[in-house]
Amino acid sequence: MIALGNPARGDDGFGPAVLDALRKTSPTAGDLHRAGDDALALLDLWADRPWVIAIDAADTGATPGTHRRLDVADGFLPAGPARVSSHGFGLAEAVELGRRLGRLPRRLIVHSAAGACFAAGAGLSPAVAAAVPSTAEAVRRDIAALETTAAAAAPDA
Amino acid sequence: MATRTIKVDYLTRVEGEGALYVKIDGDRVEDLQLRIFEPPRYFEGLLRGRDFREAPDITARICGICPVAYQTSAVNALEAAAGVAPTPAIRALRRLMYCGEWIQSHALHVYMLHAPDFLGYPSGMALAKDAPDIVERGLALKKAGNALMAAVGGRAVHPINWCVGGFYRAPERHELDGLTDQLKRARDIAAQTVRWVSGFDFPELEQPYIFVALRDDARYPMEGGRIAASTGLDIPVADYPAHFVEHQVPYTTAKHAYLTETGQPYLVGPLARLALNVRKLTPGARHALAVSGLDLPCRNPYRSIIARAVEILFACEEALRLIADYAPPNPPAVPVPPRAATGHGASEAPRGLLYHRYRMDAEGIIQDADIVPPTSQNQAMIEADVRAFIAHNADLDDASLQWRCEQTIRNYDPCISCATHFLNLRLDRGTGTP
Repeated sequence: MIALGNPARGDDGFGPAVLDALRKTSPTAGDLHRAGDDALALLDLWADRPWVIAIDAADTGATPGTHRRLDVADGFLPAGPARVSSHGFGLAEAVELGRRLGRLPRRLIVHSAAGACFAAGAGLSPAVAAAVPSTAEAVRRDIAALETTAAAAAPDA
Repeated sequence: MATRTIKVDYLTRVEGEGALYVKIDGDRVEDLQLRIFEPPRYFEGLLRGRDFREAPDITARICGICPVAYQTSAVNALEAAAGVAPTPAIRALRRLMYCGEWIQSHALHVYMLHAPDFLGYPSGMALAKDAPDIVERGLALKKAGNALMAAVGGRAVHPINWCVGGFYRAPERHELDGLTDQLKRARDIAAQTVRWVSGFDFPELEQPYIFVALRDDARYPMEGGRIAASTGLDIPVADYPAHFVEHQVPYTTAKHAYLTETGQPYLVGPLARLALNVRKLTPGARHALAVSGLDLPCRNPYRSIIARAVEILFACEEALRLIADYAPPNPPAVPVPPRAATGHGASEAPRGLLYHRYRMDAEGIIQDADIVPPTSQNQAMIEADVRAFIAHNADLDDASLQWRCEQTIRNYDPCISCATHFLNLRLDRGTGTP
């Protein structure tokens, strides 16, 4: 599970907040990462993984706090202004670059919440903060389902 | 004769946000403004009242691409103020980490931001679709640079291991030995990169540049040196304020810079470094440069991509040499007691000369600070390049002219976050809505 975003930039801290919630409530959840500011590093971070769940804030204009789950196999992430990433490179660009280079995990699921404010030092807006626990729960369900599927697909010992 | 306006609201493939506005009358540029429109970031203001030991970590946050440059110029200035010189071993480790920054920053620019201009692609992403092997080369180079920065600095972005006087912790030999194979592969890719970019088609343009870069008697400039210029200027860094002046212009939040004596703009960055220091290159880089056909001094800004590629190769070779010779500095830092003084420091950021000045009191509290990033220094020269290109190519249609204007700006790998932030182009030929 990879959390993206910068807690110093308002609702961009959504991903790290979900990560913190998962660590508190599911300390054995395992392979949890905070991605830094370099979205290109995602290509290495998720290389050769059977499945990855990414969590990020979105700047879609939807009602703040709106949660969205997207299986990357089903469609494209809407690319938008990656306002805090160097050279405008964010998750959507990393996914598309990974797709073109054949460097995506076999399964990639993205959980996002629409942000309201990405100003420096603003903290999470109330609607986005309210979406954190339910998103963490949705991620937990995904992890459980993916682990079950992986176990079923594994050859008998 | 008809006038026209070219407007680019958001220039892409540069770091930060800015715009370009151009008004053209026939083949005459009536007005041209490179607008860096993000608000000032007040770093110089927020450094006041802080302990001098905080400056490297605070100024590193100015830029996620070149934090080592900010850390280096800051420690150079503060150690000069304190009258302390780091040991050769500490300086060598700083140089090693700086190599990592050059490799990752230059690789990102050459492959993902600048090469698409020459190959007719709108982005590195589009290039990856048709030529994934090429983009993979760039990513491998960038990864090698990041690995070097992380090994010495603790992490690749905003490293945390620098302090005034040296390092908090010196890596063990075996930690660096593990990078050797990766850097050798990067060196080979870098040599391939020089050959690749040398074959691009370069627009014709010759500019009367005044080159400004650091110069070191023994080495290609990176983590320190004296300031030299193609005018014959050769001064200690402390004399920078006497020879260079910053000037505020109304349409941009970044200042322009000029030579004090003549009021002329000047060029910093890879072409300037090569023009003033070519004999200090490592053997492989010198050979690659010779084969590339880049004649020095080079006054065609589009060929800066070759200079950048040569510097990637140089940084790989230099890093391998420094690792082979490495012995951990012991202690990793020298004591730096504060004193009431002013210090000046400079280093060669990937984009060019980065100057810092600090005045601290006897307790080491910073009283004032001055930071002059390379993109600010290049800003007036960028405008001059765009103006010159349009003057010779005004017959191009708007779309082609806009493309070339943006490419001309990208020649500089401008870092607007540093300068303060950057790009959007408006081309006004007076024939339509601006």
